Amino acid sequence: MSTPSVDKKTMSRREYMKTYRKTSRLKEMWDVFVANRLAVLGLIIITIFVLLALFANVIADYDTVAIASNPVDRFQGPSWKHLLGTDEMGRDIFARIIHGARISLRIGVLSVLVGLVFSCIIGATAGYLGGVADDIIMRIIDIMACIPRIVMAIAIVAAFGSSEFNMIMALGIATIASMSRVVRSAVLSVRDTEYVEAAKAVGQNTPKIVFSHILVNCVAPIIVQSTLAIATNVMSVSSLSFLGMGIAAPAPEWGCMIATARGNMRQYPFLVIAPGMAIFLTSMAFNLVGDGLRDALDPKLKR
Amino acid sequence: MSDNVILEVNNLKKYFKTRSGMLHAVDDVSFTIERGKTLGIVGESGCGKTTTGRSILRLVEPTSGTVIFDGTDITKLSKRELRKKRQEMQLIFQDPFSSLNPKRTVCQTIEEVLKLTGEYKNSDERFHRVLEIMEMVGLDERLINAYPHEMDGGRRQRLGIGRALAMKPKFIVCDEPVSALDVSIQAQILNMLRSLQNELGLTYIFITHDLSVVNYISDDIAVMYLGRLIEKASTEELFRNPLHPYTKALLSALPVPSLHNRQKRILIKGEISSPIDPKPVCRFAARCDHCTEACLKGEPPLVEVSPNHFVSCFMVQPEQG
Amino acid sequence: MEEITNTNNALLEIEDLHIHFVSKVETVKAINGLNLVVHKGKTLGLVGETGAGKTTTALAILNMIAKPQGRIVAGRITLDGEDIFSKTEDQMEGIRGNTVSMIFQDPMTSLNPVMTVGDQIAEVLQIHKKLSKTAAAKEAQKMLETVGIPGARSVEYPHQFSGGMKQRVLIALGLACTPKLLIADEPTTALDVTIQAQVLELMKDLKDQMNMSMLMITHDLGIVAEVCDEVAVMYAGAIVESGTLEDIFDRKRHPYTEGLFNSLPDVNNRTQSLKPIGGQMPNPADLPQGCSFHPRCEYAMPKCSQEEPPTHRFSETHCAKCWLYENTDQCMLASQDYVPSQGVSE
Repeated sequence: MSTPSVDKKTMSRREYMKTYRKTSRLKEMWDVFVANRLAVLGLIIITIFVLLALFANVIADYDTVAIASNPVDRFQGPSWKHLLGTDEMGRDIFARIIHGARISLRIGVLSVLVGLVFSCIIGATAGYLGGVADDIIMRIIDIMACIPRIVMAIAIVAAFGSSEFNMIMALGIATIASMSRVVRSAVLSVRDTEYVEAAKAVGQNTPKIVFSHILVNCVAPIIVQSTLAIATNVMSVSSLSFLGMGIAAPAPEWGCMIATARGNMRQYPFLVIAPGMAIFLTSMAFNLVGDGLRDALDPKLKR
Repeated sequence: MSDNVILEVNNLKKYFKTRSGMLHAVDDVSFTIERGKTLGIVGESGCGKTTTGRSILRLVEPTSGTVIFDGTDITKLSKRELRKKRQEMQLIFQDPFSSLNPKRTVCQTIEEVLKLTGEYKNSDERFHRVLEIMEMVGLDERLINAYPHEMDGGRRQRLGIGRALAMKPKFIVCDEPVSALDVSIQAQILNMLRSLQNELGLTYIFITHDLSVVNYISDDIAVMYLGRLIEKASTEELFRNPLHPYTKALLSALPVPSLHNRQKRILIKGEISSPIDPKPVCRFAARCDHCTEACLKGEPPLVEVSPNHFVSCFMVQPEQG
Repeated sequence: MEEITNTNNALLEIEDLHIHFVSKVETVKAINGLNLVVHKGKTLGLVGETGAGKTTTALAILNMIAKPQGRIVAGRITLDGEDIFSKTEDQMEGIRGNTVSMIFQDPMTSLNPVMTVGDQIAEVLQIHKKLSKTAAAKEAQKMLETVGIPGARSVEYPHQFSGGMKQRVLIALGLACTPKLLIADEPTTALDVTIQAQVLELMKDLKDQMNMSMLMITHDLGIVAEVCDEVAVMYAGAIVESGTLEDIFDRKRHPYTEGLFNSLPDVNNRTQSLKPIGGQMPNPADLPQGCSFHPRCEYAMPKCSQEEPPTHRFSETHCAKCWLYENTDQCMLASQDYVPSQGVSE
């Protein structure tokens, strides 16, 4: 306890921070994530879909290739000109799939974000306040959880009409039940830890405690749950469209594509297989990534 | 005398409502601590020692009673006043794993507290204070950016102590600060707590179940059983002349790491009874070999049998004169 | 270990055991050249701090080292004349719970919460002693009574018992088949002192009654003084000093053993300040060269950081692994041996 403290004053804060760097948590997580082969596969699939969706217009023009009918080229098999063949109206299936990816990913991600915002508010309030407030909020959530997701989404779309915005809201609300439970239990498990008590003991104010001590430590399960919810919602988008409750016919939505191809399914199975595979691959990829994140974000697995 | 008393606890009670009734965690506990001294609170799990410590800091709201710290009644303070007062009273936790925010580095943990004191406006000054505190608790400066999971239990506990000291408190409640640590590390931390007390003039409440530790660090010892304070005396007195049958049994149950001067064990039968709605009789009566009718009729009061030696037992009479 | 007299009444013998845990990132050297003998009818205290490898040793005796990562690199364990590592899993199942059984540290998690305690004990008896269901149930009640629990409580579930009572149930479970060796891994750390005293007393009595041997794993030297006949002090996966109780408590030779004792507050002399061992336990994935204790050792010599010390034998029972005794039998530590004439007081 008597080491010379003279040289301490000579070094500035910045120099110290440079000399003794933090171990990058992101890098640690990345290392764990990469060790999981399947999660990496999922991430690659998602990246491909995202890139295809981003550059969809560069690869194939929406109006002329994905939407406009071209009766001459009907029902063609896969070829270099049409990678996945064409459908009953002569539209390039590959072009429709990548434009469909735009719709699915956009609705999938945005609806989860909507759900997330509500769930965080609801879950954190219930978890942090506890007591009667918790009881009332969670009973309402229990009731919401009793209605099947897809049924709730259909009800909302049926009531407000089937626009993309309505679908995002419908699917977002449908995710609240499960998501807010995750948030609440995460908050509960952190709320009573001793480091939160320690923050109270030094006189830290409540908003600071909630944000920098509680929510920061809840991020992991929330991210994992969100990733898995994206997978579910991508499928729900297609299910709704398949049922005719979602994106309307000419738009290249995957579920919609399957629905219109049903009549010719026997002769031209590719019309169904291609969008089917797209749905399967994206939702599987998000599930794999979700599992990988669960391992990577779990601090308990660190030694 | 009263000028020297830093903390005075009077009739402190904390009851918890449970489904099966009222749980008397702390039941009518009173004691005082002098400035710069250490009061050890010992007892077995469920005796209310932790709740006592938390109630004094109002981390749990006491059901009734007063806690007078440095002339102010803590129990009457508003939330804002309490927040200020808490800067002078700190807490060190048992588990160095769960008491640190896993997402914060050593520097961030200590600096958060320093920011709250508002004493250091300049970021570089504040930073050098962080370094000073780290040196005080024996943390190497290369750990400045380490996360809790990158340190072992002993270092984590040093950080926990550093966080408490950053407030420049006068009084610290140490809740089993060494029981999660290995003996060699435990000794390091105990020595450090002792020398910090001398350097900074701190007052401790030291909560533990380990009698050899409490013997080493405390000036006075209070023994608790089922929410009640049953004996309190100076450490020498308590170890030399324990009067309450439970204290006697507790002392004799302590495994001594020596082959010589061994004493005969007093084994007490049975286990601690339920703290839920206890009957108004001596709480130790069911396990006591000396139990009489009087013990089953009422609760024995805490009496000063000799100067600074308090016992709550019908079998022990105050010295005459 | 070389003595023929010892080998004859040795129940458990561990020779030069090395166990590594291999992962993608690193190789954790948990056990490094461990030698250990438990004699028939005796209690050996295995003392060491967290991470010394005590529990790994216990699991190795049961041949229960988690397989893909855990590797037995070298060594032999002989239990009751049989080589443990040559047994198949089927054969091991016959040995576990029968010849040797283990009591775990945490009584809260070691019992099946959905089975009555009576059934759990009876199950062991049915497997190993081939008793009928009713006979096993009766025997289970008797076992519970042996450990001081009314037989009528055998129909209760674990959650209906307190911590001390659960530990008694676990002892009953461990002793159900009258094993020759009982391994107790910190059996009382989760318990309060007065309950601990009860449980230790019980274990001592039962050990004598059943004439079995016991391997008591603990970090508490007080418990060792209480119940053990012999002591082995473990550090970084090896035994650094072993001997009888008197050897270790009154004639300690190894600096680490001295450090352990100096770290303990002395109840009879509270003004004496503690002399803790400096530094921390070494990382088992990156052990120091030479003697693994040398970075924390006050007596370290240049040699200590280069070569691993040999085991020096002071008497038939007492040996220590330290370079200080390369040329001498004399105590090289600052602390003095216990001289009986001084200590007689009161």
